[in-house]
Amino acid sequence: MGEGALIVTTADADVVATRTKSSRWYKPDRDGWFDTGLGVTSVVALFVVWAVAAIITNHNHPGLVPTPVKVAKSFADLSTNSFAGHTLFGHVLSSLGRWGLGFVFAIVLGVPLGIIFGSITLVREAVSPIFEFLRYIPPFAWIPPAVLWFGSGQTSQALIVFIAAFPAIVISTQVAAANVDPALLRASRTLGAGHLRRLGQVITPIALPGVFAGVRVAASNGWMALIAAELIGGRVGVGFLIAQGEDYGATDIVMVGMVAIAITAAILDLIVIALSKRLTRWRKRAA
Amino acid sequence: MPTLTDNESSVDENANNGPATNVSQRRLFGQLARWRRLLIGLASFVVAIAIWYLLTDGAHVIQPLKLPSPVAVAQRIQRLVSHPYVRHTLWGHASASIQVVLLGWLAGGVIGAPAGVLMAWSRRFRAATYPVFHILRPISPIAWIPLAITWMGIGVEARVFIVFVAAVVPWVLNSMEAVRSVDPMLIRASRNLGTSSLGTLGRVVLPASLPTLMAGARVALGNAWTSVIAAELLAATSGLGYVALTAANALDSKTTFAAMAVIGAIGFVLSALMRAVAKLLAPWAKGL
Repeated sequence: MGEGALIVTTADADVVATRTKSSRWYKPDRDGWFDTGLGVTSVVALFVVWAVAAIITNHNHPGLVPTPVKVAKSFADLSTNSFAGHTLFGHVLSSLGRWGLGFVFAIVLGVPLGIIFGSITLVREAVSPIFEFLRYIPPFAWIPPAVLWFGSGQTSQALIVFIAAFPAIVISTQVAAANVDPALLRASRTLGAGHLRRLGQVITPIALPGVFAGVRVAASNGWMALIAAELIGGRVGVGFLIAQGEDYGATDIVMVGMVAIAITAAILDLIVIALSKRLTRWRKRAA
Repeated sequence: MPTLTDNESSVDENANNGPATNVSQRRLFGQLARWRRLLIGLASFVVAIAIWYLLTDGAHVIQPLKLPSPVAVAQRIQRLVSHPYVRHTLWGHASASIQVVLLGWLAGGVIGAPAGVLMAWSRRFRAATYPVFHILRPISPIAWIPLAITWMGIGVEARVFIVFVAAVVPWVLNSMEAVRSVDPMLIRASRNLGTSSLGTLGRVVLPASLPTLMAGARVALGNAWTSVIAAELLAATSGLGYVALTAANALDSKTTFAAMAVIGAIGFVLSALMRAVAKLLAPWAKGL
């Protein structure tokens, strides 16, 4: 997080605030060994509580809450042996394929559309009310019609990823493109740049960080929506894996799937951040 | 999710007004721009529905099974209001969804908001709780659904739990952010004048952070509404998401799209209500 920056826009879908002042009284979490100890203790406590809950419930309802050890063992087991047709890695990879398909479509269609919305006022005014209304329908609500249109296979799951990812990309691109300083546009025009050059050499670099904020949100929204679609139908994928685990009453497999989903989400997020840093390297020099 | 979206006023609204010299003139231009936007928006809605009608009932380009016409959907909504579908009328299903949303959202607030405020205010509390929060947070609420079903069945409890998981994260993070964004000068001044740490929290920090808290509440409600639909697709015997999927499986596309239209409308109303409440409670806040 950029301490001391003028405006810190969080690229986190769940956080609204934009800090306009660096809050100096608030120190980030590196406050010495005592606090680290507190943190470690509470994480250990979490696992202890989990283990105790598992042991207590196993008495009357065996398998309802698996012990942490059992989940770890299943994780190792599923990494090499296949369950519901594939190993854990195979399921994750298959999910990632569909996620990638929907996500790439969302970027390829969303970024140009966002630039058009951002730079042509009339188009934005005409389209955005409809767009905004459609956004009040959660991506998960598109699963039933997707099932109607394509059955519950690969295509409808990729469509759900697209629907979940698309709005964040369009809106962040639109805002980023609209916020480009008109003076810069006029200056580049005076210096003889045509429409295309202005788009490529003025608007794109300035808007890129804002676009990436949306891409990050879109990546995680798409992944979450895909899991929901896989829970409902399909024959392969992490969501399908945990749905199968649920059907067999194997809560340890369900938890392995949950952990795999969380780890994959974290890795995807890191990749997007790394990519964004690489593509906007010039920003540091400017600041 | 609706974080990035709520940019109601377009950026260049005031840029093209020309040399508006006095205030009343500028206000007139602002009002004209607002009317213009409203008119264009309405017109585009009419055009969109006309295109939808032409594609379906008009020219029969899309078969009704894939996309029923707007007229058919409207008629189906009307019918569902009085005739029960899978045991309940439309109101019954809508109120089932709303109840679950409100319960999970409130539970998220009751636990999440104080936790977030404390996490920002007390270093010790943050050190103890933030790592646990950080470990559990990446597990998306959707991934909890199978576990919730195994533990609690497909009753209301499982759905409220899922909504709670979805809502508690923005409650915590925004409450934290709200307290953190308070001007440190205010806090130092208050402490300097002899107010205790708790007194400063209650009488300086909380009022100052109310706008962000309210915005967090709205994001939490948006998440809650989104996740309840997902939960209803898997763990429900009532609710709008349940209606939409049940109808799709029965190839009853009219009911599916009727349910979706109602889902969108309720999502819109919830968001508008939260905005109104935020204006009422924190009228000094900008950009909500």
